[in-house]
Amino acid sequence: MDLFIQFLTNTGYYLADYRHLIMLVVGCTFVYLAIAKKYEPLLLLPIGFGVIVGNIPFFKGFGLGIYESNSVLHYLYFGVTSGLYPSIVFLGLGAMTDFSSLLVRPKLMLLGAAAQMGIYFTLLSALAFGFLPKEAASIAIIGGADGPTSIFLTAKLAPHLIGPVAIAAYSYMALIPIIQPPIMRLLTTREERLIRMPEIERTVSRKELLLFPVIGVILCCFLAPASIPLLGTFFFGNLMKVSGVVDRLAKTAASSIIDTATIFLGFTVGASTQGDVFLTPKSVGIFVLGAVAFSIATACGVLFAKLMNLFSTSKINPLLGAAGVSAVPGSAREVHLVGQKEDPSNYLLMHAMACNSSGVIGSAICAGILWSFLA
Amino acid sequence: MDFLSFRTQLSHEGTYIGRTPMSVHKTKYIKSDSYDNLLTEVNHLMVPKQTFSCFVVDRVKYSGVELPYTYTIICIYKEVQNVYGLEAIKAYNGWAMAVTGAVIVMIGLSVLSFIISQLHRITDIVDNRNARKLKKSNVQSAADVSASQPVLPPLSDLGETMNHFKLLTQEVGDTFDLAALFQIFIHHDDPHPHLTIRSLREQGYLVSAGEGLFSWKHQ
Repeated sequence: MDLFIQFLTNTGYYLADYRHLIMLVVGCTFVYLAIAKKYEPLLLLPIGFGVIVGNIPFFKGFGLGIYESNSVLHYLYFGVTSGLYPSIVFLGLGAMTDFSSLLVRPKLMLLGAAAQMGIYFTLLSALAFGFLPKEAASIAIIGGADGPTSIFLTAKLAPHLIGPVAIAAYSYMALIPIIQPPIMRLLTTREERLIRMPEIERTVSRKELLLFPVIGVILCCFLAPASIPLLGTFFFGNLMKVSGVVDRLAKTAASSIIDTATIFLGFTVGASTQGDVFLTPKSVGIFVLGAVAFSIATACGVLFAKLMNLFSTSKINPLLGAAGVSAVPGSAREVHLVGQKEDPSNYLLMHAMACNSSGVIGSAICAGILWSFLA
Repeated sequence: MDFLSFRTQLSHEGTYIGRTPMSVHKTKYIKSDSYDNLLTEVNHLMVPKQTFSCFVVDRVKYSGVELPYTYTIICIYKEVQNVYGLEAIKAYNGWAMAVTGAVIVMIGLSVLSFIISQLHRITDIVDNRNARKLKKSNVQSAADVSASQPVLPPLSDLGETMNHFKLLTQEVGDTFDLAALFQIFIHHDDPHPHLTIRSLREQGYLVSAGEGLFSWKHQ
């Protein structure tokens, strides 16, 4: 009988408290959104299931939990805390990115830079809310709308915040269709949303495509060496793709490798949200500031596009500024859809992708800058 | 608790072993042979008002295996008041970080944007130079060829061209693929192998034999 009682006291049912239950509901909601609503299923499904697994109560000391050394989850989580998974994801991302649209419209790169201003606004806001500088920087990078970059910087500066920061970053990426359109509509007039972007007939030569990753990695990594783990792999992945001589490697990086990293990244980040360490007032603050960061980044991009229109003869559709955040390709798709609501024959997708890909570079540079400021 | 777990716990609590902060205000040496005492002392420093960095500098074993190790930990920390609002931004150098960071990323991407806007011009210049060189060498080699090589049938007379190469393709059989034909043309110094093959195809001198193979038109 004693053995049976001892067994019962070691079960999850006995050890559960309200925080576990709350997080289980959160995890189930993520899984539901991923499967039923198809909201960013590639991210929300592994994270949601990870949240469920991470919040099953267990007897501490068995080496089961993600924070217990020698546990399997702990070893898998190493890829997150060391910044390994984000780096691998960037390799695959580079191998999937086509910079042609950016190379024919280099001016749009400025919108990718402008959208990063949200990061610095949020840095100031987080400091003002009483967060320490390293924590503030980790929260601010959510404004870049880039999950792997947020995880990478947080792992380096404030590892204890990885769970809330990652969940916030990925949640807001999934909520792009809800967050961005109202801001875009609020800051633009109908006439501005109707602006058609001129089609550029020029075709990008292979030499340009080959030179871009080499120039990009040299220029960006010389400027912010701390971004090497992200941009180094990103541009390498792209060079593999455009070189055409290592198709097998490029295809593997763009499929099997990035998929594997995404699975483990999502699952372990989800599992790191154990109720007792996740449900804190700080997490609430991170979620609020994350939303602020994302919104300000969107607004900065749109407003900068309007500013450019004041000085430029060829007008830019200001909606494109919203794609300056690096949520690829969600924000570009949203810009395109908002533009098409006003004029179904206005195709903004390729232009928005140009802003989007420059946003990826911009947010990685910002992460490098913040890391070098605060390391 | 063993040494590794102890270090891990320090890391989990937010300390950074082996690193020093940018601004050092105070240094505290903590020495004890008990992990619990060390952790209590370290945790005492880890109140939110402080940023800090701790690292194990010494691990001394007393003589005799039964006695525990003694660890010395240096905790270097900067005391900061718990401040909010503009005061906090100022205290943590927030304005400078934000402005500098924003300017750096803006300048960086502007320079990259400018370079890639000029990239096609640079590649065009290089391509044009190469094209001029190639043209020059082609003219030269054409003159050399006309002086030294047997004259190939003119492209306008495709029937004669077919007869000429029909003999040369006998060794590869009645049916052949275009890659083999291309190599034969190259080998016999046809100056425009692609054009010749294309013209032969279009004029019906080269006919498909199925499965990617071709044969000469029967006359």
